[in-house]
Amino acid sequence: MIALVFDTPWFLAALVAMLPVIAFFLLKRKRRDVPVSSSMLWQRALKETMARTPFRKPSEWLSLLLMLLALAGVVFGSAGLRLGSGGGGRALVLVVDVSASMSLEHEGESRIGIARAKAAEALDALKDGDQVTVIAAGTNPRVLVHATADIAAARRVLDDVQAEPVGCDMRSAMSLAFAEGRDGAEIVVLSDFCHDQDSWADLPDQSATITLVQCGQDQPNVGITYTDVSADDGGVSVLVRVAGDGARTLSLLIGDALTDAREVVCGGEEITVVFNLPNPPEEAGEFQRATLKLEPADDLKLDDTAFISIGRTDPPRILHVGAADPFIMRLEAAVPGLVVNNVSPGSPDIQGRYDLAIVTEQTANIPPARCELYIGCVPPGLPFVDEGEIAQPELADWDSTHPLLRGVGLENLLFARARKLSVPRKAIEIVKFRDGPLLLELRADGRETYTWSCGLNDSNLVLRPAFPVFIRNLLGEAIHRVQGRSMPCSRDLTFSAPGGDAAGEHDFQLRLPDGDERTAHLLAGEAFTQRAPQGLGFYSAAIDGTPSSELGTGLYSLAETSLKAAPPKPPEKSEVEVVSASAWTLERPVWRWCAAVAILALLAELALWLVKNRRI
Amino acid sequence: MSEPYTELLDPAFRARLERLQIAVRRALPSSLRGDRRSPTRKGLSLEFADFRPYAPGDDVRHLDWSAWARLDQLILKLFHDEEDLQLHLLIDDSASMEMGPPEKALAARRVAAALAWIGLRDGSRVSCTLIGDRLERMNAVRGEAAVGRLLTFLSQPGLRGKRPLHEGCREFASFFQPHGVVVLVSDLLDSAGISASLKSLQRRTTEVAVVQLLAPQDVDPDFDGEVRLLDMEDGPSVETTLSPARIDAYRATVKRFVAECGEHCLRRAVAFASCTTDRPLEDLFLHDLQRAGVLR
Repeated sequence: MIALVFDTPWFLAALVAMLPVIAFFLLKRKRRDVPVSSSMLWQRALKETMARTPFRKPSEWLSLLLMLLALAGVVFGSAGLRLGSGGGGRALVLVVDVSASMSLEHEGESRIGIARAKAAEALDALKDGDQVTVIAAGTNPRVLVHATADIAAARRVLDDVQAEPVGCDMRSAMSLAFAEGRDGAEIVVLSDFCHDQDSWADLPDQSATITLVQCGQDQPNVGITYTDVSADDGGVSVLVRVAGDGARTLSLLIGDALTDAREVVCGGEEITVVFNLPNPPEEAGEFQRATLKLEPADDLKLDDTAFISIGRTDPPRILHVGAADPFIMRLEAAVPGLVVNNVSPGSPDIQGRYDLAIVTEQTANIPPARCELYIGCVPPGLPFVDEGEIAQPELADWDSTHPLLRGVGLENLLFARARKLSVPRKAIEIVKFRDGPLLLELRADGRETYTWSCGLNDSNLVLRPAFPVFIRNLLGEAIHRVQGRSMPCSRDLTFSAPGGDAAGEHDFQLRLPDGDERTAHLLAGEAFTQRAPQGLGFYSAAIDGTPSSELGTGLYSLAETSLKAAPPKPPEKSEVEVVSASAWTLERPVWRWCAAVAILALLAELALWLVKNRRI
Repeated sequence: MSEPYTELLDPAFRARLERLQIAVRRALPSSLRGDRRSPTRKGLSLEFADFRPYAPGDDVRHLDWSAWARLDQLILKLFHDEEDLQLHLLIDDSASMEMGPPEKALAARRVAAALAWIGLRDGSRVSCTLIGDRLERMNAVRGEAAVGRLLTFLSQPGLRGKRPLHEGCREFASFFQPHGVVVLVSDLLDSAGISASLKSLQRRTTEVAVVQLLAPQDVDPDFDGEVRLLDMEDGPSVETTLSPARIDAYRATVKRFVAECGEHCLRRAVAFASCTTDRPLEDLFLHDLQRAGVLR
């Protein structure tokens, strides 16, 4: 609700000047008496004049209205009219700081928990007809609840608000709050105010009441705010940033093994620690999980895990166990960069490591591979039971979102026969017949096993272009799947084209975890940056067709993060009336508009006078 | 009460009028013989006019015997007829004639005095009537010696009447049954229009002439702004804001009004002359009235 507020309300007494203005217009205007021989010719002349003019005569009342408008503009402007916020029909905007520092705990309660409690108190004070908006103030502020009178829904959303591994862009959050809230809104900021306090510098020209609620006290906190992994000719390094006040022991664990430890002493600023890995992964496709820990405690309750992986330097390797098959040969031709090793089922121990093993004849001897595909036969050693043949099976359902089926059309697929397989526990049916599975997925003991219940010749899938796509998807899953818990990677990934003697342009390809590809032409030494990629996974890069060895996945980055809470400071603006150190009211001055109205009204009155006296 | 009018006919102007005569364009029936030579009729005065052959029935006393002796033809002598012309001067003495300076009423009296002088010298009988709320009439007089009486009559203060002109003309015509020449001197600012006045005055026995006098303020107002125009007679007042555009429109209206009066008189074979009171009377008498056919 907007209220009218005046800086110098006593000036409103000048409005009594409207009374004589009105009286002046109401009273008959005094005219000079002029005797004429006869009014007959005057009447005739004036009548002819009125008939000739194209415009109606402006009403005297219009002149009165313009004079009153000009007077009102002058008086209200002089009285310093502002539009403030009043009561009734409240519009509450809750800005909740969700930056990493809000995860710090004090006496068993986190700052974000304090913020949730205080937000709930603000909601309790709302009445029917009031509206609430909830904004999460992180690196990219977002609206969690948009202007709703459903207070219960807002409570549910607030209950789920958690601290995130992000910084806090309070300036953007305040801009969003003003945009979401209408004129006269009440904005409550719940934060530890570790962020830069110049967030109030660019408050918009809009009336609002702003209340700052500090969540959490300042005390010695130390936490890991950033981790990163980089690889170069010197090896693989893990970079860690620690912020806060205090001393801690920083440990690096690879898997579960303690690899390195350092003493860190923070004096309010961020310090950087770099660990060089003694035994980085060597084989293509291998990855390691690095965990960073602060002892005795990491006050930032966020996961401090990094994943280290090395990009491939050789093409993917496929093992085909079965009779020579023209379709497998066609696969070699259709999917570039493949190396297919064809062996018969009775071959002696097959050596070598493979990314994918395609088995088309039943065999008991399977060399190790990341991923196995059994076509028309069952994996040995796994609890698959063949329950007989299904003649002319019909497809019933399939998971179109499964990565293996990306780009593979299963409509109008015909099958002559299939094996009805019983589904072991933990197996997932990806594609189903009415009477049994077509494609099963089983993950166990570090292996990924896919079982295709019919032979290559028992369907028309191998005749269709989708088959190589299916194999390529399978290969992708085999090579690029990362296991383990992951965190979003919020840092940019940068790849550089080789410089020095490698002049000219270089073709750069980057494959993202979701299968999308990016391409670019890079000059020597030029860098390609993938901005803040979302989703953990392998980012395989190739320069001029050669996979790059410089890649890995980072953890999170809390840029410009401080753990030091500070008392809030209101801005120093003339339009702000400070109620207290943590609450102030913003009122929009409108005196300029009053002056504009007065000037326009006077100009209109002048134009009216000119019309009356010159044109007509 | 208004002041009496003085200096209505100064000697120098009077001298310039001596060669002028009242013009009569058609023969007006009259039973009286007077001292004025009729321009149209032949009569029995002593003044020889013309010859014509004798026709049976002519008065033999007028035969030219010397012509018979010389030419052995009977020829009759003709002599000018002397008619008795009556000049009726009607002066509009309503309140609107007070407008000036120069005041229309004074100018109207001067015009009437000058016309009366011309008529009296011409041997006509001259009567004078002031039209106001009532009629003030001076009976017909003859001879130059009567000019003093006439000037005295015209010198009396104005009637300042508010009665419309046409009602005064109607009363005059019905009461006095005029014969001869009727000259109406007025500003013609009658809401009924000039036709109503002429309708009463025009008869078989009269020839009407109209002299319109307007004050400079009637033609070219010297005021503007927020005004209430008060009609000096009985007309409605008008409240208005006079802008230059409106004043221009009024001037054009006056011009059109004068032209309409002239056209109306022309259609009814009425001599018409119009001038403003700031023009010298000499111009009116020596040019306008002669051109209009009122004088010759």
